[in-house]
Amino acid sequence: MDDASGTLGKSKVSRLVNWIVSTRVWRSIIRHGNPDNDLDRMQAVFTNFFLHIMPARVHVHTLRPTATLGLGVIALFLFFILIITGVLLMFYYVPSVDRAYNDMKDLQFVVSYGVILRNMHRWAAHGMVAAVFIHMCRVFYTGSYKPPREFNWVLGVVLWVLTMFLSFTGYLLPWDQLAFWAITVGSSIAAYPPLMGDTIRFMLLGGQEVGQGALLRFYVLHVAILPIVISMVLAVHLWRVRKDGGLARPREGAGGAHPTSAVGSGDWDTGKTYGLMALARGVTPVVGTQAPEEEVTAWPHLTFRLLVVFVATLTAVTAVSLLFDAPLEEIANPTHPPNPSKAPWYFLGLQELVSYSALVGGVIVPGLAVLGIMLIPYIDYSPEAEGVWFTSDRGRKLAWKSSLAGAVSVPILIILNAQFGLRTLWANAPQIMVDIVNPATALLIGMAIFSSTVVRRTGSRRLGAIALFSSFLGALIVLTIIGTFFRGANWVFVLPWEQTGAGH
Amino acid sequence: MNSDIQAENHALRKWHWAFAIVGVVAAVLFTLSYWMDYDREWRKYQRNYASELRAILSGKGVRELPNPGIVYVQTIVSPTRVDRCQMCHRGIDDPRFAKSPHISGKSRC
Repeated sequence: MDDASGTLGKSKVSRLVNWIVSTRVWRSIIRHGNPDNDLDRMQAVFTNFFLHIMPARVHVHTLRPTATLGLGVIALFLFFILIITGVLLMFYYVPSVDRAYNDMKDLQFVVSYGVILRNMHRWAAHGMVAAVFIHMCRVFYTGSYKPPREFNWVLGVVLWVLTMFLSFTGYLLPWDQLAFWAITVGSSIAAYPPLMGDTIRFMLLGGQEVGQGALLRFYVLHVAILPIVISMVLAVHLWRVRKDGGLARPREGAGGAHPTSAVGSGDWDTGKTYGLMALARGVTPVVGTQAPEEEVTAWPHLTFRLLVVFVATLTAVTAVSLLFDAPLEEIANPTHPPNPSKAPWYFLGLQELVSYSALVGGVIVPGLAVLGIMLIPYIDYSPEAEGVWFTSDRGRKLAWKSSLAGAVSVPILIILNAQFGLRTLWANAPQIMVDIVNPATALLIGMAIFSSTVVRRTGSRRLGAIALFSSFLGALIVLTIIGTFFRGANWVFVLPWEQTGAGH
Repeated sequence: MNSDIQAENHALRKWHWAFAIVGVVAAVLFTLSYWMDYDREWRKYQRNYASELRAILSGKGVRELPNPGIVYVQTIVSPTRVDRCQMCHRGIDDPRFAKSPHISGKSRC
């Protein structure tokens, strides 16, 4: 009886829904029926402005959480949260050295939801920097940068750099001691490149020091220029994911036939009319060698997951914002630098290297790192194990060993430098010699030798890339930890509980 | 039906549960954020001030005692700064509160 009434109730609801979606008004807005069959489910995606960036059908591999960890969409959702909270904060914030700090106080004590808005903006920004970087690591370790996705990898690296710059420009806006001195240190790193370093710093700050000019420039960069640039690059990044055949996944079948194989050029019959799909690089889900039965409709399989990840991301940011207030120290005082003055956490690895050599730490390492990461798909373009974590068991072990080697070599080099460093043995050593003989240079040379040895022994560029990237990753994490927790006044080594400076 | 598709349909049901859980957590957190925004630090100081004022005035023939629940934003605008010190430090210039712990309360102005 209950079942019968339940079915009756359900059919009434279903009839009501079907009636609503069949009305002229509904049809004029939403151009598909109730998505209770595959055709309407697919139409729900490709006739919707916001959803049509997704394919109508997706491969089941793409939907597995272990395939992507959801990091790309988490970064995207954090960007959305940042835009919404940032726009709301703009109603109260004036980028003037006379007003900025007091506006922060107003947000903290007077403005309704000011504290939670500011906290969400701050923690989402840190979260986005971390999420974009970890997403990049995921793409690397699953070999998802291989052809035809080489240039999309480059765009991803550009987005990573832009994200750090977006966060960096926002760092100054509270105009407190933490902001002022972090930007002073960060912008001094920008001045290290020879010939043009001072010009870069001058353009960034609008003067020789952090002041009203810098605050206004950082504000304009933060709220207008960088968000627009990131949005545009992001749009191209997402568009190319579609055009390059969706997310990378392991090849199907021994023949290695792949859904992203390009349409051959030069074989066109000029007397024939070609459809758009014949011209597009890659194939749609219904064309090619992949079996359609391994696909499901994006609605609801992908859209529902995105909804859950969005709510989970929003919940996590809200929880952190309720538990921890964004730091706000005393008002910026250019005459009283804290000791130590530290850059934002994501630049502390660089600041640690700069403490050994400004040239190597401030110019060569970041330059080589960004350039080297961008070039990875042009050096390792073999189709080996695309979409497979670490390529193989051998690759997995190599990744762990390499990151461990990178992590361990950093404290060893720091200790060796403290005991037998050039400045320790020869206090007046010329700067050029210090730039050549220091832990940062040793680290670079060590990683280069290590990865080239792996390539030579294994004959695999992919394994060489894993060795280089993993050792860089391990070293970077340890350098950041040391810069954050183990550096005190005058940048001397201290234990974390002996820290007196402000945290980030 | 392909086993992968079956596994996917099964997985989707788990995502429904995940949505229910994160939805409830989100609702709790949003309610909490509303309460935390309402219950600002200065409200507590103003309530304490009003309670103490009531205690001082009670039995002294004052007809209308201040309501301890009254809280408000007090802003003093001067040419050089915006001063909201008395949002927390109520009665700071009242000698009857010279020994009150709440007057010297937490100073963050």
